[in-house]
Amino acid sequence: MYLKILSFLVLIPLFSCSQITIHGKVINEEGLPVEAATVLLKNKNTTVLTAPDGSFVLNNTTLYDTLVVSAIGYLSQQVPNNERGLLTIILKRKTTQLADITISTGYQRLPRERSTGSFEFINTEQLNRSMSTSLLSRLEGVSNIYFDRRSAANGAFTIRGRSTLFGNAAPLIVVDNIPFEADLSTINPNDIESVTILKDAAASSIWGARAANGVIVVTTKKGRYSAQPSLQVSINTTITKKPDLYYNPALPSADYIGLEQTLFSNGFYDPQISNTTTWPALTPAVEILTAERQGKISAALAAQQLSSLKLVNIRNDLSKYFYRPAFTQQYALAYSGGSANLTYLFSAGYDQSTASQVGNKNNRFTLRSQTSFRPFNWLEYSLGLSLTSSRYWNANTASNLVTGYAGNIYPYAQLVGANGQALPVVKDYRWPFIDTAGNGKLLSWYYKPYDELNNAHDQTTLSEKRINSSIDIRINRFFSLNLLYQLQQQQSVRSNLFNTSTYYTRNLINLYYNPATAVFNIPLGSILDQSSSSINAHTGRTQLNYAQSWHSAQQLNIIAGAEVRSTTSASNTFRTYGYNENTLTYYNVNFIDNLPIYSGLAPARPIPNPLSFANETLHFLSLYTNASYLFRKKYTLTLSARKDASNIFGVGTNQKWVPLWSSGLAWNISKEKFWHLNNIPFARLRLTWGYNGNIDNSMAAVTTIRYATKALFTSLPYATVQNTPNPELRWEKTAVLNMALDFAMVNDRLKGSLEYFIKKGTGLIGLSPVDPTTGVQTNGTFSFKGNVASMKSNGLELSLTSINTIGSLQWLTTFNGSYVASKVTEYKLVNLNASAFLNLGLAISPLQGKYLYSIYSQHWAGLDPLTGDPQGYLNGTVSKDYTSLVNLTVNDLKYNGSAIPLVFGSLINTWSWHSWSLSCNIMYKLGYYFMRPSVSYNELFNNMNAHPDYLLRWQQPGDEKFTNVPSMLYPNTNTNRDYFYNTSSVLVEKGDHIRLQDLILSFAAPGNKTFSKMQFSFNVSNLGIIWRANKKGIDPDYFNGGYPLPCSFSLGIKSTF
Amino acid sequence: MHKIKFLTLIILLLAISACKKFLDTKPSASLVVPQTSSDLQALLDNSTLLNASWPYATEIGSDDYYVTTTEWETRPAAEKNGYIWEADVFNENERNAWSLTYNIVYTANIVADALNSKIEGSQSEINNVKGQALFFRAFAFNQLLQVFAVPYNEQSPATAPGIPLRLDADLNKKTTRASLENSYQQVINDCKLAASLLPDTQAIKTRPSKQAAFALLARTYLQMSKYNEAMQYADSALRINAFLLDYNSINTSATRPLAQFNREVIFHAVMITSNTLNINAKTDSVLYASYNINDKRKQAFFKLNTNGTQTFKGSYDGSARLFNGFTIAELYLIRAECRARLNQVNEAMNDLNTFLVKRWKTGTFTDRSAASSAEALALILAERRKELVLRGIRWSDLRRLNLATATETTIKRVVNNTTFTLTPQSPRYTFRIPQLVIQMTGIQQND
Repeated sequence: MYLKILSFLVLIPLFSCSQITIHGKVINEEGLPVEAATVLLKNKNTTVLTAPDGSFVLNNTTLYDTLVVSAIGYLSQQVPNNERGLLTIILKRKTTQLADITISTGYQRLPRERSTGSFEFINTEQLNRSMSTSLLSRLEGVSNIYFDRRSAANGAFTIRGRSTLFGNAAPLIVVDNIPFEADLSTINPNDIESVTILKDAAASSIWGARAANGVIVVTTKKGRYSAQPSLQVSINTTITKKPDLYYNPALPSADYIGLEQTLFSNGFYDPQISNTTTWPALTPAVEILTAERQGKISAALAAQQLSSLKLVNIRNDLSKYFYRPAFTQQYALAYSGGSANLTYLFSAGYDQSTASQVGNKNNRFTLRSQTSFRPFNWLEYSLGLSLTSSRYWNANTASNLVTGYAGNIYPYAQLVGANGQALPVVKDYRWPFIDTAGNGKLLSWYYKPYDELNNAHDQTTLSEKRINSSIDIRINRFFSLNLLYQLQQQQSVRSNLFNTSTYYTRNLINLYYNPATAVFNIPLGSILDQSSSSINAHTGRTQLNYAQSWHSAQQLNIIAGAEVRSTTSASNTFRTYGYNENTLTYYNVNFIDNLPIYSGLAPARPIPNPLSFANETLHFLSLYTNASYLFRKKYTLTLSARKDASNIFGVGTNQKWVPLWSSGLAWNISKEKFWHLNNIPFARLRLTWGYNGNIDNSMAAVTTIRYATKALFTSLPYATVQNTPNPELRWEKTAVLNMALDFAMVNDRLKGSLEYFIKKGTGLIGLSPVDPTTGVQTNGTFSFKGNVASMKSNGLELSLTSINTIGSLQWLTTFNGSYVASKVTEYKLVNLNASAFLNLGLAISPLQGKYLYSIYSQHWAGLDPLTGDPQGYLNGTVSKDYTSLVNLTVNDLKYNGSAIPLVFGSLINTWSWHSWSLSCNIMYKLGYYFMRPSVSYNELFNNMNAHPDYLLRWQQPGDEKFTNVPSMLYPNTNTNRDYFYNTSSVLVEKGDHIRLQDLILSFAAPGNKTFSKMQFSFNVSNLGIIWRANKKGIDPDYFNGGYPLPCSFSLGIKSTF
Repeated sequence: MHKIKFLTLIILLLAISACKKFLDTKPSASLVVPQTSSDLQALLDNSTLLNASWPYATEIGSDDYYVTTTEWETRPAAEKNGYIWEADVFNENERNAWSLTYNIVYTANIVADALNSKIEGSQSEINNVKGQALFFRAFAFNQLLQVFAVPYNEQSPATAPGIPLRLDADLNKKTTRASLENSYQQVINDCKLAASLLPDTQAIKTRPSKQAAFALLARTYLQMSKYNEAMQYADSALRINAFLLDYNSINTSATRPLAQFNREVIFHAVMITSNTLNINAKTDSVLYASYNINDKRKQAFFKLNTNGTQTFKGSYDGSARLFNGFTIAELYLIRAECRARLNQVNEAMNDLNTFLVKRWKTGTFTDRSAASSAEALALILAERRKELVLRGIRWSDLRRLNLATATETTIKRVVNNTTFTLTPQSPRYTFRIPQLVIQMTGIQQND
C-alpha cells in the first residue's frame, strides 16, 4: 500500500511538460519570498499561485498585459508586463491582520490565514529573552508550555495538560521537519529561528500517532536567496548566584545533639553500640557519649567535645566548599547569504558552563551548515549538516553525603578543617571499628567528602550528527514534489574512574579483603565504569504538494506524502577492576563465587558486576495528507489525516485502515457585510475537531515469554507467558475540540485570541480486569494491560497583546493565561487503599472523576489535649487508631484538589525609548495544593531527617492551642502515627504564587560602517516569588527537597556585520 | 507506458514483502519472543499450570466421598457449595474452575498461534508441540464441558449451549457460547489432529502422546454415549500399549502405594488441591464395602482411620494430589463397557477379566461371566466405579448414566443434620458459570 503511493508520487514528474514564457518572483519588504500569492494576468484572466520560494511561471502569455499580484496579509499590486526576463514584485504588508508569521507544521509552512488550528509561534526575539543554553528552558515563560518544577517531576513539560496516564507524556519535538530522537541538549538555541507549538488536532494530527502530547516544531536559521553576506556574532555571559542551602529548614545542631543525648540515655543506640558484627555507623556525638559511658573519656571532656560539635553547621562547609556561583559563557557565530540560485549559512557555537556544584562543568561545540541550491527554477536541493559535541564533568559528591543507611547526614558534620584540610565524616561503619580494622593491611576506610571532590573522574561525551537533504521539484504550475532524507546519529560515552583515593574503591577493596588468605579479592587499583549508548535514526519522506487558486476567490492547497522511519538505540555498561590508568592494565576478578566479606560486615556475596546490554528498534511507516481550502478570504476549511503502522502496534492495528484525522473551519467574520462592530475591525472564529495519538514504547503487540527453572513433577526448565499478545494494541487516542476567537481592535493596539478546548483521551494504556474466559493473567490476577482507560481535559487559553504607547515611550504588554483541568473519566482496576493516593501529588493514582495529579489527605481532628497525639476520623468519630486510619480507603480521605496549577501564565511588559528597552516577565501559577513536610519521629530517630517542626512539638497540655505538631513518642512504637500526621490535611498548603521571572534591559546601538546592528542586553532572571498563598515561606515548586533556582545575571552582545 | 506499469508492479511487490518484514521487527532485543520449537515446548512444560491446574469440580459433587459438618464448615464457599450442589459456587474467588481452565486453553493457543509464523525446529518437533497444544486445549474443553455444559445426549436440542470455544489467544475476540454439539466436535477434532501429529509415546508423562490423544477421544465419545467410536479409540490406544500394573507387585500397605509416572500411566495430570477432596474426604461406606477382601485395591486405595472411616490413598500421583490423567486400566474399562453395550458380551467380559486379574490377589480371581449384555454392563460399571475413585471421572459418569432410567442414581449429602438431594435430572449437574464472566460477556447463564 505504502509503496503504491510512493511510486505514484515518484512517477508524477514524468508527466510534466509545459511552455514557459514569464518567470517572476514575489517577495515582501524584507526580501523574503511570499508563498501562495495569486498572480492574475488581467486581460487573459489566468492565475497562478507562487511557490514556497515566491517564484511563479505564466505560460502562453503576451507582453503589455498587466499582472495583479495579491496575497493574504499584503496589499495587492498591479505590475505592467512590458519586458521579458525575471520579474520581481515586492508586496507591502497590510496593517490590520494577524501577526505576519509563517507557521511550520513540520510538513509544510503556511501563513496563519490558511490554518484553522491552534498554533503558538515563538519568534527569535522571544527565544532570546532568556540566555539559557537549553532550548526548552528558553520556552518557559514565553509560551503556554507548562513546566513542572516540583522536585520529583523536574523537567517534565506539557502542552495543554497531560494527555496520558502511564504512556509517554513528553511532547514530540520536531527539528527541521523531522522528529528529533537525540538528547535535546545537543541543540544550540542560538541556531533556532523560530518555534511553532502545535496544540489542537487540526494543528498536530498530521503527526498522527505521536501527536497527542502536542508537537514543538523547531525551525533552524537558514540563508536567503539574493541576500548580502552577513556575519552575526553573539556573545553572552551568565553568572548565577550560589544556591541558598539554608532554604530548606533544618534542626539546629545543638537541638539535634540534644535529641541524640536524650535518645542515648534512653538506650536507643544500645543495639547499634553492641553490634560488633556489622558495626553500623554512629554519629560523632553518640560516639562521644559511648566513650564517656565506657569510661574512655571524662564527662568534662565529653561535654566539651559535644559543645564544640553543637557549633558546627554542615551547611556552612557545603556552601563554602561544595558550591560556588555558576558561570556560563556562550559564543555564537553565523555567516549567511545567498546568490540568485544559492543560499548558505554556516554557524558555529561554543558554550561552556561551570555549574554551581564545585567540580561539575560542561561544554558544547556546535557546527552547522545549511545550503540550498537552485540550478533551475523548478528544482531546489538543500543540504543541512549539523554536528554537536559536548562533554560533561561530574565531580561533585554533595549528593552522596549520607551516613549509613539513613539517607541523610547529621547536621553537625564538619567537612573541612581550619587549615582547609579535608575532614572525615561517618559513612558506613563506626569509627572505633575502622580506626583499627585490618591492622594496617587495609586501605584507609575514612570518608573525606572534600577529598572526594578532587578524586572524582566522571566524564560523559555526547555527540550528535545530522545530515538532512531534500529535493524540491516544481512539476507544473499546480504540483510540486518534495523528497527528504535525514540521518541522525547520537553517541554517548560515559567513563567513571574511581581511583584508589576514592572512598568507593577503598571501601569495595577492603570489603573483599580476605584476612585468612591475605588476598585482596578485588585487586588494588582503580575501578573503571564505562557505558555507552547510541541512537541511529533514518527518515525518508516523499511528499506531493498541490496548489491552485481561482480568481483569487478560492484557493486550494493539498499535500500528501509517505514517510518511513527507523530508530535503533543500543546501550551497554561494563566495569573493569584493578584498572591502572597509566599502564592501561587491569585484573580479572571472580564474578561467580560468593566471596567472604571482611570481618563478616555482610554475608558472602559475589563481586558486583554491573554489566548490561540493551537494544531497541522502532519502525514506522506513515501516510499523511493535509488540505486547506480558502473561499473569498472569509472561510477556511482544513482537513488532515495520517495513518501510522509500526512494529510496536499489533497486526490488527496495522492492517486496519483507520487514520487519525482532523478537520477545521475558520471564519473571518469581520469581513462579512453584516459586521458593524467598527471597534473590532478584525475578528475570526475558528473551530476544529479531530484525533491525535500517543505511543507507549513499553508495550508489545507480540507474545513474549519468560524462562524459569524446575517445573513441577519433571524439574525441567519451563516458560510462562509474560506479555499477552494483543494484535489490537494501538496508539492512545485523544479527541480534541478547539474553539477560538482571534481579534484585533483599537487600531490594532489590542490584539489577542481566546481559545477553549476539550480533550478526550480514550484507549489509554492501563490495567483493566479482563474476561477470565480469555485466560489472560497479569501478575497472577485476571487483568490485562492495554488500551483501557480514558480521561478528559478542558481548558481555556487567553493571549493578549496591547500597545500602550505614550509619546516616544513605547509600551507593549503581553498577557498569557492558561486554564487546564485534566480528570480521569474511566479507570476500572483501582486499588482504593488510601496509601496509594497519599503520594504528595507527585504520581498519578487514577481515580474516576478526579484530577490526574491530586492531593488527598487524612481528615484532621487536632491534637489530643492530654497527650499531644494526632487525631483523625474513623467512621465519623475522632480516632487515634492509626493502624485503621492508615488503612482507610481513598473515599475516607479529604480531597484537597489538584497538585498542579489549574491556572498559569505570564505577563510581560516592555518599555522602549529610543534605543533603550526594558522588559519584565511576571509568571503565575494558581489553583493548586501541596503537602509540606514536617517532623516524623521515626525519620528523626532512625534516618537523621531532622525537620525543625520538632521544636514546635506539643510538649504539655495547652500546647495544642498553638501547634499541630504531635508530641514526641519514645519509644516510637507506632510508625503509623508519624505517617498519619505527615499525610494529614493540616499540612496541606495552597500552592498559588506569583514570581518575578526576569528583568531585561537592552540597548540597540545605531548601525555604522562596520556593523549594521548591535545590541547589548542585561538580563536578571529568577528574581524570586513576589506573592505566595502559603505563610510558611515555602516556594511551592520546591516544597519537597531541592532549592529554588538562584538569581542569575547575564550580559550579552549581539551584532550583525 | 507498459514499462512503467511493470516497474510499478515490481516495486509494489517488493514493497509489500519489505513492509511486512519492516513492521515485524522485534522492538526490544531483550524480549523473548517464542521462536523455536524448544521455546514452545518450554511453555508446554509449565506443569504447574498444564498438569496440575485441572478443576476439582469434576469430583466435588460426586458420591464417592463425604466430609463431616465440622470439616465442611471450615471450607471456602466454592468447596462448601459445590459439596451440597448449591447454585452459587465460583463467585468468591476469581481463580476458579472457569478461569484456570481457560488459562490452560490460553497457553495452548499461544503455542498454536506461534506455530502460524515461522518457528525453528525439525518437522517432528514442530508436529510434537502442535499436537501437545491441541491435546491440552481439547482436554481443557472436555473438562469445561463436564462442569459447565449440560450432559451430552443424542436427544439434546441442537440449541443446547456448550462452552466458549476460544481457538486463538486474541483477547479482543468476543466470548460467546458455542452449541453443545460444536463444543464436543471441537474436542474431537482437536484430539484427532493431535493424534495424527504426536508420537505414540512420550519419554515424559506430563507431555501428552498419541496414546493420550486416543484415550481422550475414547473418554469423550463415552461421555457422549457414542459407544462404537469410544470402543474404537480405546482399542487404538491399547494397541500402542496395553500394560496393566499387577497390584500384587506393589506394596499396598504403603502410605502411597501407587507411584507417580508408573507404567500404567498414559498421561499425568492432577486436580487443583482442595482440602475437601485431598484431605477431608472419607470414602463412601457402600463403595468401600463393595471391594472384595481379595481385591488388592481395598488396601491399596484406602487407609483405615482409627474411627472406622476410610480415606483414599490411591492417587496415581503418589501423593495427596488427586490424579485425573489417563491410565491403561481406564481404557480396558471403556472398551469393556462399549463392547457390552454393543452386545459383544464375550469380548467385554474378556476385557474385564484381563483387567481384574491384575487387581486381585494372585490365585484368588476367577473369571467373571455374564449371560446378557445387561448383566455384563452392570458388572463392568461396578468395576469402573471401584477402579476410578476420585479420578475426576465419577461426576461425568453420573451425568451420563442418569440419562437412562436403568442406571440413574439419586445422591444425598447430610450437613448440619440437613439432607441435600441431587436428583438424576437436576440442573445442578451443570455448574453455573461465574457471575463475573456473565457480567463481562453477557453469555447465557446455566439454569
